[in-house]
Amino acid sequence: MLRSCYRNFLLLSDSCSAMADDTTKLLSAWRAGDASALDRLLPLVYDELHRLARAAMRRERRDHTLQPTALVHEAYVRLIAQTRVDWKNRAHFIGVAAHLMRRVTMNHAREHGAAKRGGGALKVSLTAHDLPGGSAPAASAADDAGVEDVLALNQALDRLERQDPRQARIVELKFFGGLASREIEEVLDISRSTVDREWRMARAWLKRELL
Amino acid sequence: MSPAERASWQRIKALFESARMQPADQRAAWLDRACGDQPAVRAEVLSLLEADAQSLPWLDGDVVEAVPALFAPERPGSPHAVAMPERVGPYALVRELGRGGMGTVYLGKRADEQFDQEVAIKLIKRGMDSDELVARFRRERQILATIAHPNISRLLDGGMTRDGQPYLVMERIEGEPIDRFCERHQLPIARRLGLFRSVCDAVHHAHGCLVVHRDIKPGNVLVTAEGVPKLLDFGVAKLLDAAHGPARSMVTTGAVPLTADYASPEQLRGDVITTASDVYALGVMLYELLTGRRPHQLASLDRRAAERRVCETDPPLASTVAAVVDSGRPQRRWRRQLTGDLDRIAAKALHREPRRRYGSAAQLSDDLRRHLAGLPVIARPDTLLYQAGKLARRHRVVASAAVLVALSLVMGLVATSWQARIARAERERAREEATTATEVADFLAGVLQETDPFARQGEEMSVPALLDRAAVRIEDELRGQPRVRARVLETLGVALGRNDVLDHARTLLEEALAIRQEALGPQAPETADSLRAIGGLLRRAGDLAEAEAALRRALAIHQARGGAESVAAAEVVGELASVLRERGAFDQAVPLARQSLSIRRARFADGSVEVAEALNDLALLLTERGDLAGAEPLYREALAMYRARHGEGHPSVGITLQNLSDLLLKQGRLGLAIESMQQSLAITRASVGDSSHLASGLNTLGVLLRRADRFEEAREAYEEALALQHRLLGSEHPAVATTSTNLAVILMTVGDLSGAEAQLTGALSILARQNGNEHPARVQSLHVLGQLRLHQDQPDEAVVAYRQALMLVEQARGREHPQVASVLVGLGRAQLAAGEAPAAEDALRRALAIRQAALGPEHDAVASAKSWLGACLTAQQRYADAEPLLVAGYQHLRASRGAEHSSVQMAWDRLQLLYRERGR
Repeated sequence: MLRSCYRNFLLLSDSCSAMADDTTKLLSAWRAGDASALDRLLPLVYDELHRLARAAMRRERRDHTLQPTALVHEAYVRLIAQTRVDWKNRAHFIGVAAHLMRRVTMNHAREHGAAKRGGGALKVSLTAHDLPGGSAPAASAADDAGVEDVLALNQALDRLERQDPRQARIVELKFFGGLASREIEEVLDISRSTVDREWRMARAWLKRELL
Repeated sequence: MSPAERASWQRIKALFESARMQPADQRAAWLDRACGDQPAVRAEVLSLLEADAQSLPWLDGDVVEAVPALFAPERPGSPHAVAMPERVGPYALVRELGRGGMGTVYLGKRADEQFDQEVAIKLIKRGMDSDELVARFRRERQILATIAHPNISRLLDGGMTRDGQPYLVMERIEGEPIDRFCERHQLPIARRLGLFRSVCDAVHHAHGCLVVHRDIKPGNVLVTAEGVPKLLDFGVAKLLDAAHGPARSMVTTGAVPLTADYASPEQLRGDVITTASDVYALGVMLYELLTGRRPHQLASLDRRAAERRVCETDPPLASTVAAVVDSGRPQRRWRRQLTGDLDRIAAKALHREPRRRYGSAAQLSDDLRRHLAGLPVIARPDTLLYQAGKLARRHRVVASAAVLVALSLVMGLVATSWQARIARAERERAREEATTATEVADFLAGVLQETDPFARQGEEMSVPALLDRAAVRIEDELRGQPRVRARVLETLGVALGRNDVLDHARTLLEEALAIRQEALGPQAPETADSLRAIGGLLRRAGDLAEAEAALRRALAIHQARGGAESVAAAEVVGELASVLRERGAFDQAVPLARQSLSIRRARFADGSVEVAEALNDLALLLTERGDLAGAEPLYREALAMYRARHGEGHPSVGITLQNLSDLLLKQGRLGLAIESMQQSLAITRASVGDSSHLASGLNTLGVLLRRADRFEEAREAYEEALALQHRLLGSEHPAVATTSTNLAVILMTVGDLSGAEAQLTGALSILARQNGNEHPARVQSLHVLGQLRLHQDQPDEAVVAYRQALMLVEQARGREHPQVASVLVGLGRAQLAAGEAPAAEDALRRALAIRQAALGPEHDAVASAKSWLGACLTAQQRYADAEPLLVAGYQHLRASRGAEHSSVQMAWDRLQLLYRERGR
């Protein structure tokens, strides 16, 4: 998983280093116990993720399809001053970013759904022309979910969060952040077996809600 | 959740976990036993177990895999690309106000109706929100928030729309452009100046906040109904951060919207833009307010013609063109009011040379105030050598040896260029030149006599003293001989430039240029010569953008005169190729260097120095591009020519040997390279002494010594080079960055990691300021940064640095250049250290392929890439594949570098690791 995310790294340019300073400071402050720092951090990360997601969607080449884990790490590289951050900070950041990825994606899904309802012809042109070679991911294909399915998942996840916050968090990191179990271990600072056990249960719970 | 609920949930979790471990057909029975008294818990666990058995494959992937259609690339013209959004943030958009290069401006209203305020909302153009533009937009937002001035429209808000479009919310100004306002009210001169001075104050305030406006024009200055001028639209403003040096024009392709009518020469040429560019635009506006016309009539010209007009001619005096008629006052009287002070003030603000304009908008405003108050103004016509004398007094003591070297070079120069003119067979000009050269030689002989210690009664003659004396003599003896005067100034300037007295040299050369432009015309061949000399000097000073501009102007003159194949044009073309090489524009430089060589081969006899020079330049360029085999014969030919012509001890032989040595190093022939370099340095020390050439030679020697593991000697060489460069070139010169980077390598090798980091940080920031972030020299520094991060045990950071280096080097040199391979090896090592062996393998395989193709299978670097690739396979437990690579790499390296070399030791360690790992 890490390997693929490096492939998608965009490089930190000097133009965003001032911003990187800000986010790094906020992240450190938050870790040091300043709760308000998170409030100021979230919009910055959210903006960045949203922008990255839009940019990824705009990329024309097939090999640049969007990967959540790439976005999350890319946001990290762009927003955090690389020279002054330790590894723990990175795990925290990625945790925050995965949560925000969920929000970005869900906003997008809602807009997408709205656009679809507004003009029925759109969906055909999107799938039929953009993804040639018979692999067009039609919403009816057995393995794929529809926009409504993810929106439903999102709501179910809200309910799960009230029941078991850690399980919800794992789902968020995995499904919306695209993180592998090994990375989830790092972010939540729990053992691999705990990650796997909690995921199994959360998945069952969600399936029951969704099916 | 209540405590009871929480307890029950924990119980459910535990039961689910345990029940899952039971065989499927026994789970129900197991659950009956485990929670007989809690039917609700039992039902819950059972339903979860049932759901667990269900298939919902998309839930196991991530959201993009689950709903790819949601993330499919958008098509242009999709419904998202709508015209005017209904709202942006908390603002409702009412209508479009205008469109600019960067986006559209809308009239907006607070949508929440908390307060009724009309605002102007600037929304970035869709499809233009590249990373760079978005970054610029952010920057603009941050900058503008710091500016508060009654004559500048305020930034109220800013942010991103929900779909990621950035926007700015500005104070909405209703008013009339300042020029129309003045005309409609038929304002007298004093009132116009009053309004204009308010604009100057606003601009000065912005400059104080480190913001350059870059697009000042009457359309951006609205006068409100109350008569208050307001400056709008910092659309192209850039942060003038002291830490980043003068702001540079980022884009010359038209992405930065400019109105040519108000753009300064440096802006049109795409050069460095500073506050002086805003002063120029203010000058245009002043001229327009005073005369009703713009200084240059550009309407009928295309962009290039307009650029030439602005860059190469002075506008007519304001008083001679004023078409404004004050109510009740005739035009004649209006013009008379402009004659003198206002003519000079406008001319000074509009000076083509940024540093001869007013130093600030406030100074311009002050001079107008002095004029209005009847006080003398500071604007005066330029005086000859006035500035040279002032500059000269700053450097008191320069050894007389330098003066003698300077003057002997001058004499030599006169002789060679005289010959060159003859060879060109432009008879008329050659005769004139011959006369001029003789007079110049006589004149300089007179100056030289005065440096005779006996004639000067034992007093040493310093360069400033020489200049003062020359200035007096030029005034006295060469009055009415502009040709000779310019020639003296030029030869002196060139000689001083070669002795690294750069600022004196520049003043003299610019003076010569001004004289020639006035006496001989802007299109005269001598004017082109001056521009070429200035271009060469600026290149030595590291001011590459300005150098290129001067040389292109010179070339344009030759081309306009039909002399594109002349020797003079070849000189310009060759120099331009060097500038482009130093800027990293290799693809543009190579054809120019070839052109220069072929003109010279056609025009000069076989074996002449001019041809040797062109050979050397082309070889240098080919080396930079990685065409090592193509470069070597060119160097050898040049070397033979110089030796035949000048003998072994001549500086040209030394320089060529140094270049050759660099090539040999790049070919991996270390022994020959060191030998060649040592010969070269001996010649340089004996013939030239302390100079930037010596520094660059020491730097190269350091590289060679490091390769030979002679670290202490290498360090000494770098430190000596660095000291010379600081002294002779200044601490901002790109050469300092190169040497610092090399020194960092040594410091890293001997374990001084913090010292290395300091050198690298310095180097990277110099490069950022001097050349922008894209310059290929940055590759080297980033490459070393990657190594340092590896040493500091930060492989993830190393990967980031290497990736950045890779992107830059591929941009500059294509994907097949040997330097790409070096960066890839570094990247592979970093990825290996970061635990990403498969990615490392990709990088190292690519590196190996590039090196085998570019350097041949026998090269050291190929062996090193093999060894690293082997290590990478070891990490993936592919021992059988790894072993032959590791063995071949090690054996080859040991054969060529000896068993004691550090790289050989490391290759050995990698092989050992394989055996240990396999043994487990």
